[in-house]
Amino acid sequence: MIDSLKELQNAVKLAQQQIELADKSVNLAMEKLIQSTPDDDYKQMEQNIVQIKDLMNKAKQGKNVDQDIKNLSKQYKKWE
Amino acid sequence: MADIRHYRNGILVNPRDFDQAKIIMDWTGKKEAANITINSIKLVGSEGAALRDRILSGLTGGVGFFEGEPYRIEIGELGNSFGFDGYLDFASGVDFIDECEVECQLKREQGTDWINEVADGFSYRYLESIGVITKSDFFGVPYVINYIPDGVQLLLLAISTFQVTRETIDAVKAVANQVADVIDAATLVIGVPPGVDIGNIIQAVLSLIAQVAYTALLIVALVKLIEQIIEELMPPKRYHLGMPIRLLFQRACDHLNLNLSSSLLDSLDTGSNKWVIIPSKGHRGGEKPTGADSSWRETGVPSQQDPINTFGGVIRTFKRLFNADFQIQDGTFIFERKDYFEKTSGYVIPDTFTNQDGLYDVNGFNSDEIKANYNINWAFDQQDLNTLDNQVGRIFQATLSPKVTNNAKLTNLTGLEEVAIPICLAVRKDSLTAVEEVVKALASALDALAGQLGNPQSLSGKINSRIGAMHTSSHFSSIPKMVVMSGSQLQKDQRSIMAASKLWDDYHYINSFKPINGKHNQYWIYREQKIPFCFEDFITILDNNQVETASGEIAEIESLEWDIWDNFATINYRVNRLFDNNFEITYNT
Repeated sequence: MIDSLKELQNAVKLAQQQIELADKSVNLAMEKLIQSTPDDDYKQMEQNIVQIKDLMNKAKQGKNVDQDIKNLSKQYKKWE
Repeated sequence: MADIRHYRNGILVNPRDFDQAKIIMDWTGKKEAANITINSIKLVGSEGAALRDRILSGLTGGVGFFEGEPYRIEIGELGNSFGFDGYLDFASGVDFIDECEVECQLKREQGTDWINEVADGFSYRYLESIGVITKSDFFGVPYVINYIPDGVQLLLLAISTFQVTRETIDAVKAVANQVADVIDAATLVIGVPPGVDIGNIIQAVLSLIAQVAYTALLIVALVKLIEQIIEELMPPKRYHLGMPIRLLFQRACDHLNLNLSSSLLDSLDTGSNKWVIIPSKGHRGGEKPTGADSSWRETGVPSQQDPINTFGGVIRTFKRLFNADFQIQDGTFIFERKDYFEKTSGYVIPDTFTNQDGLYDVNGFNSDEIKANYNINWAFDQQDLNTLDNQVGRIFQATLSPKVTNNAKLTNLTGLEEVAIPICLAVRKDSLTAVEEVVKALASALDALAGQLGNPQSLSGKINSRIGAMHTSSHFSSIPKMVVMSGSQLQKDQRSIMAASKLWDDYHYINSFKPINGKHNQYWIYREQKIPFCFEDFITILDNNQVETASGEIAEIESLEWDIWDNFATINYRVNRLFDNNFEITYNT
C-alpha cells in the first residue's frame, strides 16, 4: 500500500509539472497569436485571448468546458 | 474551673453533666483540622423539650433530623471570652430519655468530621445535575485511535490507488502531448513571409484545455480518494471531555460555600500546564453509547465507578498523589503539600515530665514508620494498550540502604510505602507513523496541485493536526486518565511533567528518612504527657497542631484529651529531630 501511495504521489507531482507547462504553453501560444494577427483584427483577437484564458481557468477547476470549446471552435473557423 | 456558657442556636442553655465531658482532639494520620468530639451534650427540662421539638420538626415542615443545630461554647468572662462553634449532630445518634431529656453529640462546624461526611455526600454528577457544573467547565481533550488496518478495506483502497495512479499517468501523458501540439502549432513556419497558422494554434490550445479539464476532474476524484484513505487508515480526531483538577476542587467548594486557596492546585492550572482528568469513558468521543436514550449528554464529570466520583474521593486521591493535606480555616478550604501546614500556632508545650511519678522523661522514635522502599505508581488501563506499551514516567522507586554496615545479616531497613495512583498517564501522539508520513507527503503534493488548479485543499493539515492529540488504542477506558494540556493540545513533554519521579522530586521527598533538601521524616515521640491546659490553649491549637517545645523545637501534637473541668490535658506529640543518618538513597524508574 505504501509503495502504491508513493507512486501516486509521483504521478501527482508529474501532473503538477504538466499543468504548469500547459499554462506556459498556452501563454506562449497566445503571444504568438497576438504577434501574428493583422492590425485590423487585433482588437478582436485580444477579446478572443481573454476568452481562451477564462476557459483555461474554468478547465483547471474541473468544470465542464465541452460546450465552450465547441462554441469557440465555431467562432475561430474564420482564422483557418 | 473557668466560666463556661453554652448557646443552642443563640439561646443560653445549661447542659447536664458537662463537668464530666472530655474534649478529644485527634490529628493522627493527617495534618488537616483535628477530629474534635465532645461525646455528650445533654439538655433537660424545657431545654430538652425544645430540642426534641427541633429534632422532630421535619414532620411539621421544619428542617428536621438531618440538619445540625448551631451550638456555641464560650469560656471566660462575658465580653472577654473565647468561643467554639460547632453543631449538634442528630444524624450520628440521638437519645430521647424519658419525656424531656435529649443526649447527642457535638461536632465541629466545617471540621474534618464535616468534610469526611459531607464531601462524600454528593457526586460530581449531582453537581452537574443542579447546574453547579456547566458545559463550559468541561475541557475537550483531542484523541486519535491507533492505526488498525482493515485488510479488505486496504485491498480495495490499494486497487483504487492503482487505478487512479494509472489514470493520472495517462492524463499527464495526454497533457504533455497536447502541450507539444500547442508548441508545434505556435512555431514559425518557414516560408515567405515566415508565419504561424492561427487556426491551428487555436485548435491545439482548445484541445489542451479539454485535456486540462479532464485532468482537473481526475484530481477532484483523487482528493476524494485521499480523504477516504485518511479516514480509513487514520480514524478522525475526536474529543473526550474532562475537567481540570483545580476546577474539580473549585466547583465542590462553590457547592459547599467555601473559598478555595491552593498554590499547589494553582500551579497545575496555567495556560501551558493545565492538568486535566478524563474520567473513565464508556462511549466514543462525541457519540452517545449504544442503547442510550435521547436524554444522554456527553459529560466531563467523573463517572460513578471512578475513585474521584465524590469530592471526598477527589480529596483522598489528590492528597495521596501530591502528598498534600487540607484545612478549613474561616470558610476557606486550603489544599497544600503536607509541610505547608508546619507553621507553629505559637503554643508552647509546658515543660513537664512525661513520667510525673518518677519525675523523668520517656520518649520513643518513629523507627517503625521507616519505609525502606517508597514506590509511586501510576495505574495502567487494560482497555488502552498504549498505557501498557508506554511505561515512561509510570513508576518510581526510592530505596534506602545503610551507608555503613558491619553485619549485613542484621540490617533491618524494611517497609514499603506504595503510593498507588488510581489514574493512568495518557500517551501523546508526538509523530506520524510511516503510513501517515506517506499519506501526508501525498496529501501535501495534492494540496499543491489542487491549489494550482484553483481548488485549494488542506488534506495535509488534517494529518498534521493529529500530532499533539492523545494516542489511545480504544475509545473506551476503565479508569481515569491524566493529561497536561497546553492550549488545545497535549503538552509536549507531559510524561516527564507527570512522571512518578517528578512527583517524588516535587512532593514526596519530604517523606524520606534520609534528609533531602533539609527535610526528613524522623521523629522523637513523646506519649501521655500531662500538661496544664485551658480553653485559650484549646483555641490556639484548634486549627494548627504545630507547636513548640520549651526548648524551641517544632513539635506536632498527634492527639490530646482535655479534661475541661480540671484544666489539664494529656497529650501525645512528636518532634522532627534526626536520630539516624546512616542512609544512602537510590532511585529506580
